[in-house]
Amino acid sequence: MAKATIEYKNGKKIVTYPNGEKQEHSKESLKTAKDMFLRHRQKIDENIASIDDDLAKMTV
Amino acid sequence: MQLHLKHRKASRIIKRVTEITTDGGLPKTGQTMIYQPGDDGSYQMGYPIGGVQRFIDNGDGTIIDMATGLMWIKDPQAAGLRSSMYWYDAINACENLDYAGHDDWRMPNINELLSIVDHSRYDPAFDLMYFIPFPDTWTPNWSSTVCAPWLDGAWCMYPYDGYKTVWSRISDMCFVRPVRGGQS
Repeated sequence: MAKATIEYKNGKKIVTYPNGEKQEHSKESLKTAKDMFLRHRQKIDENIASIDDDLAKMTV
Repeated sequence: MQLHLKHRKASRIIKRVTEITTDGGLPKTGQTMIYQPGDDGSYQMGYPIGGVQRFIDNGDGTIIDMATGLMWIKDPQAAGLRSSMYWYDAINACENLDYAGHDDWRMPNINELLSIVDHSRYDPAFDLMYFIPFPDTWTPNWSSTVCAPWLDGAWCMYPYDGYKTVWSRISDMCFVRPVRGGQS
């Protein structure tokens, strides 16, 4: 199974993919990616809360 | 009566679209980097083929997409759509819009909206030469497509990254980027 290798050097994450390609990730780029996922999750959490609120009010 | 008028409007759309339709097909994603043979960057499948220019700036505030045949408004703020709004208000704003000599603007469906996403870019995830973003790229653009599993929601797209999401038709406000033409 093809597997990437990961190392952390000089404050960077360095990924070597199975085809030999290397990608360097800085702290800034990872924080940008994290913020993207947090933003996506924020609305998902809001929608779930809204549905939970509806469910709680739907008493028989 | 309103429905009747809308049908007449639709027949005009078909007539106009014949002037700008192409062979059509799924547009390219925008990725040109090859990370692995067989990936998107190595094939770059999609229209336009042969490196033909995809978007045409008409110079009147409108953009033609040669891949889909759709006409877009380059800067919705210049067309008066400056603020985010509820889904119903956004639909009405598009339906009532008279801009660049056209009065048959409408809110795009989710497939149409996602068709302008360039996956090689972010913040915003489309070509700034042809699409002027709203000030906040984390407020989505509405689509006219309702979310089938959750009917309170409508599909929309974050201009930041082109992510398809669902916001509430009841309580959320998003921006809108009108479109006209297309296949029906």
